[in-house]
Amino acid sequence: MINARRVLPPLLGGLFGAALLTPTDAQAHGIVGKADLPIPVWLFSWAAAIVLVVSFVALSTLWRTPQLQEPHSRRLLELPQPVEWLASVIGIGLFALVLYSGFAGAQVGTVNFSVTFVYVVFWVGLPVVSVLVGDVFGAFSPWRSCARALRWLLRLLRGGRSSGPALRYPAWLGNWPAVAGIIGFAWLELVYELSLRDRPSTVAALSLAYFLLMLAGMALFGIEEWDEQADGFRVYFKLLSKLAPISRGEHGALYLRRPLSGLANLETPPGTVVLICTLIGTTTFDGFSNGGIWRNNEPSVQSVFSDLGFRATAAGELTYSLGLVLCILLILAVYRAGVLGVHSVSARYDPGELTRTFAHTLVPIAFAYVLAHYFSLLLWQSQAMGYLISDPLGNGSNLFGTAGYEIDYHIISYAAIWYVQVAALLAGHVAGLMLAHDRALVLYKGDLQAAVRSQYWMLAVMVAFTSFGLWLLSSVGT
Amino acid sequence: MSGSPRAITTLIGHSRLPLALLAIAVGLLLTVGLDPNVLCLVPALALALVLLTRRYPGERMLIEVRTRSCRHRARPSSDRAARPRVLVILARGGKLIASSLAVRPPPPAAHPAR
Repeated sequence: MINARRVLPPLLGGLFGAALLTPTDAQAHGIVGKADLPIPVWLFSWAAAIVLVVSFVALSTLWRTPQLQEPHSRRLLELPQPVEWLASVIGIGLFALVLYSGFAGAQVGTVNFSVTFVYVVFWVGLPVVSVLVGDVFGAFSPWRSCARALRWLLRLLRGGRSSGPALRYPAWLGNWPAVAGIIGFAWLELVYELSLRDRPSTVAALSLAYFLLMLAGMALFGIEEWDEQADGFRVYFKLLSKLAPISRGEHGALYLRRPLSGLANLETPPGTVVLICTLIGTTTFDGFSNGGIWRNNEPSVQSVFSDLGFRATAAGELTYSLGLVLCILLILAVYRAGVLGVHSVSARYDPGELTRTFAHTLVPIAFAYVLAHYFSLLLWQSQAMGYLISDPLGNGSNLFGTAGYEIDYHIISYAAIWYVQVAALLAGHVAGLMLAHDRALVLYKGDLQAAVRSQYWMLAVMVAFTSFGLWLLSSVGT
Repeated sequence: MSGSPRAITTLIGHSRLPLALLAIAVGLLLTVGLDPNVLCLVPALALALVLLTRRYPGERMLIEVRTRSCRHRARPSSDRAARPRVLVILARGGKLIASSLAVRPPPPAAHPAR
């Protein structure tokens, strides 16, 4: 057995020392390089760590009773049924437009509605909307709406008789299909050959394939069961919507709740923790693959695959796939190490239980990573919808008179983007720390020492993710 | 308990893989590209180092502050409890009349006609 006192301090001390030996005259690169920041980038990371430590001290001394375990919600209003129908119609209409523009429009990503809509509005914009106003995708989901319409039609044809799903959704399957869906989309976005991934017909064909897959799953296992657990996008957006101060109840009722309290009752079926780590890991890889370290070393890994007999494209895709998987594993490893640290202070709960119990603390981090990495993309590229809505096919039409609209890249400065990124990362991790502290108060009731010590480990996880996130952002384009 | 050699051994036994992965990842970062921005990772590494040596700096202070403030909060209520209670019994005739009126309002004749 390895002796911790002998092995680990020198190991980590060596790494720490090596980090200190690197030149301190840091220069900002990539996006932040153009920002002309007054202080080196690494100093932001150190300041962020100090903010997290101060937050930890404040929480430990001032936050004495659990505040976020109950939603404390109050009813706001009730949405009439036609609003939900309207949302379904809009969702199906937009999906149809993605398919039509993808197949029939110009095969150039920048002038075709489908590509910008899927990669920017849907993939980056919808998470932000979900965090602000709650679970909206549930109402707009085209596959869910179509499946419901088909169910209604079948019931009508059978004279009001309804039949249940053919199969029961297996409990062990949990969120694993959703994990596969998210990894698949990330693979398409980050790994698949550039000329193909941005081709509108590819986006439309894959959207159609996903639509059919979802319909098949819903037909087999039931609409609600499949939708809530297996549809990757639905699970992802619903997860983020738990951060929102607004929640949806039965019969279209809207509730106002305490921010973050929606995460307290997060259900963790099999695959949930991996799903959240996948969300952070895919964003991590997006940042990492745009950095100097990856760009300098990726060709040598690619040549290994080429030597094994793979064609250049396949070798490139295998290299990027490897990077994607490693990034997800790294995030899982950091979280798992933190949980094992929590377990080491008290054996009251087993590591598996703790992994699930603290999983909700990663959700604000996942959103922080998404916002920090894609903020500029969302701000700039979403403006393209201004001209795409008038000319969705890219064939020169001008339906609403906005085809001449241009993207304003001066809408925000590079420095402002960097500050938003830092603020998003910091806010996400402080939120994670709050959730972890609140949960620890419940878990270690009556054992103050264990409660405090467990939070040292969660602090370490949060500092690690913050530092890593800032490092990734600072390395973009180096 | 928490600081026993057995607990440390268990921690290491369980966390060998994640730690190995972490060490490899960080080692790779440091060897393949000595980017000055790697300094961003120093706070995380420093904290990990401290915790892996089973040290929780400031822990005693945090617990003390919290316990002291809890005790400080509890004092006034305990003082109040020690004080003898003075029971004030008042004749609540008004309440009786009000409640009887609420159940059965007075007959209309009781109100002077305007």
